[in-house]
Amino acid sequence: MIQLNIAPPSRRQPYDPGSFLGALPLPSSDASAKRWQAATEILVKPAPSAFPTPQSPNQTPLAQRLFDARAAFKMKTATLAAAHFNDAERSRLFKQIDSLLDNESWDSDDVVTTEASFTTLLRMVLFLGGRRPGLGVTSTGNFIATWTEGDDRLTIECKPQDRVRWVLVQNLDGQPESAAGETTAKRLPEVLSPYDPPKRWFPHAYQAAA
Amino acid sequence: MAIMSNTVPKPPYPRAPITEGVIHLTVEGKATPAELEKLVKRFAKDYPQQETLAALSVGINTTGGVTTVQQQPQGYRVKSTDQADILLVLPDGIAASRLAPYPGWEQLQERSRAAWAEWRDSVAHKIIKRIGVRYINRIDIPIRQSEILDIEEYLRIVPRVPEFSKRPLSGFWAQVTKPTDIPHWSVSVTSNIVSPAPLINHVSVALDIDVFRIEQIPGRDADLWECVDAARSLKNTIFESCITDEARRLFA
Repeated sequence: MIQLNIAPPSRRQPYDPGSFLGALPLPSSDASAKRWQAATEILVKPAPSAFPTPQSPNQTPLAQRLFDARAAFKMKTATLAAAHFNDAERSRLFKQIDSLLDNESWDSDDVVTTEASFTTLLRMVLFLGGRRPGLGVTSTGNFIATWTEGDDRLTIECKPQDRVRWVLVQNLDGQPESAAGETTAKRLPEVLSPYDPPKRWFPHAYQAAA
Repeated sequence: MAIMSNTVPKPPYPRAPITEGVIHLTVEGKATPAELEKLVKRFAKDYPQQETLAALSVGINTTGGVTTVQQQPQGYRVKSTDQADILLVLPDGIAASRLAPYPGWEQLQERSRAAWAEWRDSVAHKIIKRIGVRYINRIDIPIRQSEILDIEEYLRIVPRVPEFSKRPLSGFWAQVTKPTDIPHWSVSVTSNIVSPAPLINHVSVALDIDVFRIEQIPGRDADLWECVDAARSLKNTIFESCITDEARRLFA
């Protein structure tokens, strides 16, 4: 049984249920609209991290754009990866970000790596599990993840919306064999299943897909 | 022979699902813009990234007059270098927030305490009318293709839905507010499906627990923080009562 307390809190005060979503307000009533606004304000109260961040316009100096990008990637890591990165993994990733987006390595004409690409990278890395990749960036604003072992190498360019472009080189009986393609992060284990190195680097993704 | 462990982990969890922990103190009255500006400058060392939170109001004169655009400052959001520690400095109070990975209550309480000390030194309004301790958790449940998930296997706060359709839910949002058994403390618990899902091949459920107190708030600092500390075990107890053993296994 779901009980609703309708007793007034004290003899002096009338019963006031406070802000409550209840029925939809009538569009004709200002009072109802205000009540609706007050109620939803409480229901969807944003967390401190959820307040919108002011966007840097394109004419913003490069150093500021790089600073904003580093900040946005770290914030995204905290909110998206949450419990899935421990302190050591998080520190390592932040060092990689700071190093890649260092002011000295960029020209003012360069396209700063985008948050949309970083989101794909993070989702892909958490999905694949296993060995964490080395990171790089492209001149078009995308992150690149690489796994290398001897002559075997997998390079994945992370585009917005979980799109990934991959290039794989594996050594087969002393002969290099290469393949490339474009897919979504979710389909990677399946698309890369004919090749051995990915199975060694992120076996969990293959077990989960099996 | 490998023996699969079926042990249910106990707190503190190795992979606690906390995405954000907040201690929010709200005062009676409002700080002036000058007071807030002075206060924010004092946070510059620990929180070097500082943003102004502003509301934009647009006025259109329909009788042919000018259109006006006004930016009204609503406060500041300041962040640590690694973006994990945040302060919201608002006209009616201050909120200390910590994003994942969560280092523990002591660290958050200490930061909130330091922020409040600065507020007391800078702002005329010091009478607290609300203490809020809010923990936003995200439970990431792995799924396989074409599997239907029974949310009740993980969560004890779910909507009760009459059988008007055999098809499963595609989303939900449930919120309850009620007094707790500890005098003067109440709680709002919200659970909902996070959409779009943050992780690939997962369903994520948010469990937002806001323990608050709006009466009998101590005026002395020492008593205030003893009072805030009382919310710690309360929010833990409420969190544990909202989840199942299946959910706990995800935090191992």
